[in-house]
Amino acid sequence: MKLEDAKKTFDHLLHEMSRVIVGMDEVLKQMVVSLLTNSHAILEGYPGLAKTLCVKTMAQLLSLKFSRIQNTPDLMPSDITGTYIIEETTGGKRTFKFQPGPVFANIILADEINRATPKTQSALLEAMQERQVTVGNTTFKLEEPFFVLATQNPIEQEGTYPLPEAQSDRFLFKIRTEYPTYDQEVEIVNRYAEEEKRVSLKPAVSRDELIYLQSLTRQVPIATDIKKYAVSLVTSTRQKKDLIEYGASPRASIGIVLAAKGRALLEGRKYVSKQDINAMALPVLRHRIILSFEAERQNLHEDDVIKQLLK
Amino acid sequence: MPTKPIIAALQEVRSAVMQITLFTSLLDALVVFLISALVLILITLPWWYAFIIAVLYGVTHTVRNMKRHRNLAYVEEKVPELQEQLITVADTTAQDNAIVESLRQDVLQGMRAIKTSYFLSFGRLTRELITLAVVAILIITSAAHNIRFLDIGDTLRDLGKLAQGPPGAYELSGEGLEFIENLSEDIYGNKSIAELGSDELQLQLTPMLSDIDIGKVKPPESREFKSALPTEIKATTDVSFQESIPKGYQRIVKSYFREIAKTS
Repeated sequence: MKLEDAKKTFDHLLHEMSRVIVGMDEVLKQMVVSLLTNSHAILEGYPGLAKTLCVKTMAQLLSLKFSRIQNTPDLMPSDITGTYIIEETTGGKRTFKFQPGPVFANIILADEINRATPKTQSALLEAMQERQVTVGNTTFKLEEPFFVLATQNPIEQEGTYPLPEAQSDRFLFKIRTEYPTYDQEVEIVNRYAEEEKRVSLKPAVSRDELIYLQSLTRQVPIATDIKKYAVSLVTSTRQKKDLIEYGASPRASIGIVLAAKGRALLEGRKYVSKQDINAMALPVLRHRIILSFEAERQNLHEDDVIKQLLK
Repeated sequence: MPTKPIIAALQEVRSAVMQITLFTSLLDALVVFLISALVLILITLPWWYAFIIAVLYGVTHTVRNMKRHRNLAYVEEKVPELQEQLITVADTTAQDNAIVESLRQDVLQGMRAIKTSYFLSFGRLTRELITLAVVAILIITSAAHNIRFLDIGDTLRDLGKLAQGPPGAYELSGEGLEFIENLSEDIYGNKSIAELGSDELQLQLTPMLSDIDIGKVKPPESREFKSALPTEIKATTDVSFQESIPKGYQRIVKSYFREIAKTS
């Protein structure tokens, strides 16, 4: 694939997704950027905002192995990683055979991740970080590309296990899904409340193409001044003590630069712009900062504080 | 594509910007020099002080501008089409991959559009040239008509005298108006005043103001002086001074005349 073709591929991918998803352009772009940077993302939004549909549609458009994990409080780590089962051969001999869990896929939809117990969450997060799974004495490498898209609901917090900061830091993005506009909602009703029309989606990007695009993303050059701007933005979260109790880690600096590279490639640019850094600041930083009491007293949200830093 | 052409192109842009910076700094320093010279002439100070002011301004101005303009972000300000691309290319000369190479080609193409005129502010240049012309005319006019607003040397001397306080010292006794004389050795006043007449008079003639027409100068007229002397000389003593003034006031009157002699 040539560099010029990359832009066409992304345009085609986003166009195909828009056939299923109404609006949510920024959400879809952030998901693609997350894919390009070989990182994971968590989608947060109220029920019924097409979080799961977004992930399923993307999985359909990428000719990759897809699996879905519906997280519940009784879900066990082995339900995710897989386990050894006894297999009886025709000769009557019994052997242990490893039965891979849903984590052995390329795209994983971890639905309502905050409903699983911390033990189960840890099993998934370990796989996300190490890209390998250890069951018993054996370690299994996960196939590349490995991409986890988790979803969670900001309401109905009862009976949930919110992800600890250290674990949510493993996700490059926290993508926030918002309510659609009036016109978009009318379009959603038109598409899904009328006669059911199945949209046939053809894979737009192959596995090899995706791996190539991921390597291309890291090659996008970035000027030193822009790199410094990104780092200054992240370090400023640690200095704004009046509104932020705990700022973002250096992992956020890496993430924001990488995400900016991904966005530049998605936009068909051969260099990273300051606009890319600004655009990626919200999804990269919003789950990496802990607001102070003063910020909460002023009824400020993470996005409000990050926007203040961007000024 | 090798890295060399882009490095050479960046170097060329940098040197062109530096040349323009030097030129504009020189022009700024010239304006400062002429304005300073005009002010110095008007306040009667040596005009060559303006050289020191202009050199100091020129050096600081040039160093500051060169620091600012050395950064390629300055070029990007002037050429928005290359915004963020030029600095990216300059910072990644060591990298070598498909995207970087493609970007270099784009930047090289875009750099052909860079013109020297982008870095020259014609409005500012015009203003500076007009200022130069106006100030030059003012300098010539002030020299021709010997216009001086202030003699800073004299003013400073006067201020120094004021700071020393008034001449002489008067003291009032506790009882009231009794004058205590500041006694001097000479009854006819201060000796230094008497010596003023022997000082050399310092005069400066401004050639531009001389209306002497050498053609109209006549030969000096001959004058006759009378050499006859008076036949008899009488010397009398003036007694009225002591006779008409009561003895108690004689010292006051004496001091009064002495003070007049000092201040005249």
